[in-house]
Amino acid sequence: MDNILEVRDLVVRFYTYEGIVKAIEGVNLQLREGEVLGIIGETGSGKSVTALSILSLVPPPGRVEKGSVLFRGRDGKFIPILKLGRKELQKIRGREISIIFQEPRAALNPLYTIGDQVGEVFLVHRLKELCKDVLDEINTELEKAQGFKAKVLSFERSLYERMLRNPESKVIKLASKVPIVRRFRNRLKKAVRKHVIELLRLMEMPDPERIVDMYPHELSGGMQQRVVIAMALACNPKILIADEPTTSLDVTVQAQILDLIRRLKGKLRSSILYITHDMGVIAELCDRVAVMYAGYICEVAPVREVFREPLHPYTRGLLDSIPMPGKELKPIRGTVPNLVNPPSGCRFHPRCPYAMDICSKSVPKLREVKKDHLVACHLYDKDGERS
Amino acid sequence: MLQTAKSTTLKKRLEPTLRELRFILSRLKENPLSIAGIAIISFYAVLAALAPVIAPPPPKWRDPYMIPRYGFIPEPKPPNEKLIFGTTEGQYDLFYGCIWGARTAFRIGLMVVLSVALIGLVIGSVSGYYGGLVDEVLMRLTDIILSFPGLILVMALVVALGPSLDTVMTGLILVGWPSYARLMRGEVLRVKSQDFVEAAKAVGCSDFRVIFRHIVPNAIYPLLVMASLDIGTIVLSAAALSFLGLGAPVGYADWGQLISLSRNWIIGTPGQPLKYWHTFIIPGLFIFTFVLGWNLLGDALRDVLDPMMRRR
Amino acid sequence: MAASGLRSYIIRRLLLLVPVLLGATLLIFAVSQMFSPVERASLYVRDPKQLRNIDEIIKKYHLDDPFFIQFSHWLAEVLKGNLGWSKSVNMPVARAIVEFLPATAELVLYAAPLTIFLGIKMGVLSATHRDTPLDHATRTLAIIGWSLPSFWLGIVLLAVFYGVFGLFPPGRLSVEASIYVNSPNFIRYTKLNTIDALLNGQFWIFVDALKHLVLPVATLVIINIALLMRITRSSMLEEMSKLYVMMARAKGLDDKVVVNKHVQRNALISALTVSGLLTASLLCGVVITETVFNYHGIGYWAVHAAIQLDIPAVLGFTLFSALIFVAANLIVDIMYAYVDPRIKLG
Repeated sequence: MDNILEVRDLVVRFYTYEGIVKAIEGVNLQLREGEVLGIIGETGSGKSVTALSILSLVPPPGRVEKGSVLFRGRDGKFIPILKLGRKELQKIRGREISIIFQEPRAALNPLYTIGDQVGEVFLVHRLKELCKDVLDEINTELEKAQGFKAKVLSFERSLYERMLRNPESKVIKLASKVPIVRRFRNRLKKAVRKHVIELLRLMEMPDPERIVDMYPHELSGGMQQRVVIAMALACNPKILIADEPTTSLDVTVQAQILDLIRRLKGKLRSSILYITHDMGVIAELCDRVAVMYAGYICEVAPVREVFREPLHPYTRGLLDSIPMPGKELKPIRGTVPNLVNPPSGCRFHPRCPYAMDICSKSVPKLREVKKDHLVACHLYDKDGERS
Repeated sequence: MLQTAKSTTLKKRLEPTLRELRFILSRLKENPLSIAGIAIISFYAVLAALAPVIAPPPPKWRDPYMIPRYGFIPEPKPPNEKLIFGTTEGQYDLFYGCIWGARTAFRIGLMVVLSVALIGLVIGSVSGYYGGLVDEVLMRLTDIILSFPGLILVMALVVALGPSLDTVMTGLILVGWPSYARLMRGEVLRVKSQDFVEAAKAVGCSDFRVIFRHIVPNAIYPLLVMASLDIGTIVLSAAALSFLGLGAPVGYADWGQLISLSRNWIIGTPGQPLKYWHTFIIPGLFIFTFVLGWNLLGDALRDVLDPMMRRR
Repeated sequence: MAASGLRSYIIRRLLLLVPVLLGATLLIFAVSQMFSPVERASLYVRDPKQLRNIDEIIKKYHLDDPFFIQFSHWLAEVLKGNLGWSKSVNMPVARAIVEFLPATAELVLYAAPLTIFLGIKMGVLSATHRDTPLDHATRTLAIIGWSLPSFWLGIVLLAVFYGVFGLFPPGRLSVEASIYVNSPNFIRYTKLNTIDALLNGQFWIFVDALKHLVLPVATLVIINIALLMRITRSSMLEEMSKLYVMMARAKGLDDKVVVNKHVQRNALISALTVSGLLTASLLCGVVITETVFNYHGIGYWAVHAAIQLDIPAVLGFTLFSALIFVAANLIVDIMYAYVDPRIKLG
């Protein structure tokens, strides 16, 4: 399996009032084509920042200091996302790589209808296809039309042909503003609406024709999230990044959304980067999992491996701390570190039951210690042997 | 034993507040505009404090706030060696008026804003905390007062009470407290539902204690921002009313009043249009820079406190 | 479905208006109580000759009776349109308002749109170019505008542009224009000089009126731009940090489109609320500006009345401005509901 996405030595810092937050210090990740890679970590581990960096969406005062994000484009070559100009970046976002967020209510603009917002994605990325559809429609109508109607139709046709050739054309922009002329866009709107309804149906939403005209606040949380997912999958992206999409939803809705994602993954053949803090979700959905702590990746392995034999002390702590009936509560002692003044060396060492001298002095590197199982821990420094 | 325990807990209790104050000050120091604002305000504070020294009133002068006159002819005299800023209509010493006017400005600004903030704080807290009928009545009252454009209602009150600087201040206070009360009430409502308030009540704290020890310190920041931005507005309103002839009496050391004296001389004489520039430019600059200083400080304070408030 | 939601909202708001206006009149009445019955008598009469029989008047309007009886009588008079007699201009208060209002309306007609347009534009520019020199420049200009005493700005502008350059005179019209406007040749359609001049085809009067409007309008605009700019800027910055903006970017939308389509619309909602505040600010500003420029509108009348302690005029003016302010807020609320679907349908 090829890698479809590679994150190399990513360093992201936030310049805030209280100091420089070292959110991510040297993250390395590979997403393989067709797989579901989970990223698990507590709040503040840097998982969301990693996700945002992949699409170069880190907001100020954050800044990507070092590193690269490489995406394997349609021609098989790697594209350095962080070095792209604005226009190229816009071609990737929403089309090749999509992202969905934790709060669906906040991710939707309250002033525009569902149809409007989902339709936006089609208008931005699949305009040419839509124009062709509309032109076909116009041509069929032209065969039967006569006189004035025929003239109107051929005028519309010329506009759409121009739009097909050059979507940014000034003539089109002007025509879209002039009062009666701009009605030509109605065909486009209808075409978009058709696609949106189809998409919503794919998202297993009941009654898509009605939902298309509704506003976000009229929908439940689960429905809103389906809309967000619809927006993300509209263009069949190669990678879907899901940043804790079910955390703010009810448990039952959570299950439904997870189900949906699993089914869609089968249909659309996207690779998924799934971020969560819930081990249970990882177990259900993911093929491999990367464990993050305080801006570093501690462990990467297939899901079964991690559950069977967690190597990193933090991973072990995470698994142990899952409350289970009959078992004693066993939290990891200590608290998440302050990222303005993080601990030296391995950031986990103050809480680690196996900490050694070297742990406070040098940062352990992510190393393949067993087949397809990487760990960043000094315990495994000498050829995979425990010291 | 109990005494020392109390004193240590007092220091401990104040520590987070002190830390925040220190943080606010350090952020303010970084902002050049706020430094400019503080500099301007300090300059005027010194001016006001040293007024009796810089512009001493003539011997046996009854009210230092009344400007000494050097003659009675209407035409203003330009700046000369003896009278640094010259005289305005009626031969009032402009320099004296401007210096003592700083005192008046501070008096008006600080007294009104402090009163308004205090009244608003108490009423807003009580209203927000107790809710029910008390809340309804108080909020209807604020609604009614706020349905009038501010300056116009003050004008009506001043006319009713008899125009003077004191009635101007009274009017500004009576019209100004509702905004603060509303703001405070909103904040109290927000804080009231938080857990630590429930905890304080569960421990048995009296209502008074809960409100003023627990809720108010957490709800007070927006009020501070509003107050710091308001001082400038209050001074401008008072100056406007004095200018219109409804505030300080003629000859009083008030910047607005001084400009009102210049009204007949703005156009100057044909051929010398700006002959009497000093009568309005100088006092106007005083008002402008004074208000500018407070606005700069208020703006900077708001920039610092806004993200802090948001993080709460 | 949407229309009925909006209609019920409007009806609700109109109903809420009644207690507020009632309270406002009550406040005005309470203020009037600070005067003696003799002084208050002129609140009730439309003709000064009636004041000669002061005792009769006092009995007729129950000026000696308890508070609420008086209030109901006074309110009845007010609702009939009788606001008393304004001694400073020798006409009934109600008529004075009607006489002086067009001048002020003309002033606001030019000042309000300019303020709103420029204020919002500056705010948007400031927000989209955050922390650049452009942002700092506009913010500085805004703070300066906010700190200027409006009367002083007016005076300075008058001294420079009229005193020195002789360009824009105070008052409403020059002498020649006034004579023509008051002659039977000139038909008064709207009582707004600029519009009437155009409708009468007298272009020179249009220019004349415009020249007299430049400075007062400029004063009002400069002072009030700051408020609008600041609110627009901060509400835009707030919107720009919201998740739906990041989502729009993540969908591949161009930054400019994101700002224009998504951010501005949401931000303009807060700008709308400021328009309500702007009305109050303009009403207060008009009082001062008209005085400085000798511009005979209701603000000018109110100040002169105040100085002469013409109580009915002052109280009538205060009540009237409250009415305007409340009406403006109502319109803003309705527009709010129209624009924001959450209110329309919620």
